[in-house]
Amino acid sequence: MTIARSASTVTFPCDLQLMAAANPCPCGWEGDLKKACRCRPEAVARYRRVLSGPLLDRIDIMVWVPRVDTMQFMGPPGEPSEMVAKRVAEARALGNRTRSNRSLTRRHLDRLPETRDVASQVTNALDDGRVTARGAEKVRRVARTIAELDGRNEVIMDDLAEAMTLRSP
Amino acid sequence: MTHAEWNVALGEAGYPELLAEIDDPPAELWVRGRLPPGPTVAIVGSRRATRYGLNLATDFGRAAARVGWHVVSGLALGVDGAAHRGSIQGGTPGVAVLGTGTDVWYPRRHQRLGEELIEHGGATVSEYVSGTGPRPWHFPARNRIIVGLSLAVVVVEAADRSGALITARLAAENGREVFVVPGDVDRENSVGCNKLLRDGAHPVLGVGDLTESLELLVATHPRVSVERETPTLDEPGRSRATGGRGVGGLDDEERALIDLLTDGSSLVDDLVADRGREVLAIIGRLELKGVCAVEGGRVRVHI
Repeated sequence: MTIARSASTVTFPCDLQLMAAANPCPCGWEGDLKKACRCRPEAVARYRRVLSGPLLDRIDIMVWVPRVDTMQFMGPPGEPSEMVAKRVAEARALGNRTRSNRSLTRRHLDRLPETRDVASQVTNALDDGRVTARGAEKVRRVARTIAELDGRNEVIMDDLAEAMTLRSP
Repeated sequence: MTHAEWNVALGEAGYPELLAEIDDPPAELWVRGRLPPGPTVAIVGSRRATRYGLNLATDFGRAAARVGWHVVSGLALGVDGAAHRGSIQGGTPGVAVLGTGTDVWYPRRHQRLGEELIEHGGATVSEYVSGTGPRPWHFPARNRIIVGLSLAVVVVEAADRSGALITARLAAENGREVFVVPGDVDRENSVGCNKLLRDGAHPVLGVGDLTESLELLVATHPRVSVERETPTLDEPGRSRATGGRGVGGLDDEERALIDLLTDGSSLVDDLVADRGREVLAIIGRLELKGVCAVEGGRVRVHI
């Protein structure tokens, strides 16, 4: 991380994974299946605008986390973390690279295999303004991760499409 | 007037279902003519519309009527009147919601237009009994009926704090789709429209865009099942002709998903639970085509 000021420029070591959570609206119930939200639509919009587009654009994966059903919450636990870790390790081994996907630059991405329609779809999405330049790169990285978790080195259209659904909550 | 007035009370058979769903439906509805049997779209806007706004309202009214939509508006001067006129040309009967009793014409010069609507199989509608004259507070109240009768609301030109803006906000609050024509930022008649867009309304970019959106609404709205002789999504090449986003280019999987969204839950989690993770790729393809977006954990079909 580099901070530039008039007097000097300092570079600090920085390597982090950011995870953040936010409420959907001031009262917290917007979009809930059972409880009604008490906020006016304008208030919800104002609340959401606090997280600006450019800020959200820097986040790779966004998912909506709905209320967990009581039965599910009290029921048997889901997949254990060791199994997830194993899957991640396998996907990483497949890539056989020194860099993790999140630090792939466009140059790296361009050299890695992807089907032709992936590139053209990214171009279209950029042209239409559906993704920003930064966003396009992030979608490609996530698409690559999806492919590798699937045991493939080549990114196909459906990987990109799936990655696209993870761009907004 | 040749058409007798009839009335229907909230809760009775024949009371419009959509209208009964709003926050504050009128207890009683006075009607001259026939209530629309099919999908309804309101077209509203400034009474002091520009030539551009008037032309657009007429074009929208005509185009919507051509694809089988009943146009609802307020019979006011400006955008309302233009939209009604267009709908008559388009051939699907429209509805005028009045702020007076159905035997009082306000503005007077739209009497002929109102009568024409009825003659063409449409209706004039009011919550006020015969003989009630125009009062300032009738018109904002009338707007909620326009919203209540409509699946979607199109705002053509609207100044800040205008009646059309109130109509649009009511529509959003009652879960109706809001389409807005973007305007120049330095024109007063655009301020309201542009604010609605900023708050998340759908921009409507032209006549073709509107009809395509309406068709998508028919394809995806749980309540609309319409017998129409007009083409729908299934007809290839159609959307290309209207210069749109290539909705005709959906494959079977994508179309099946849109059907599924119509019948069942639009929650991403539910879809994944039902159909497996592969459904995400289909959603993503639709998203890349600009047909839908994931918002708040739900797949929202863009219109």
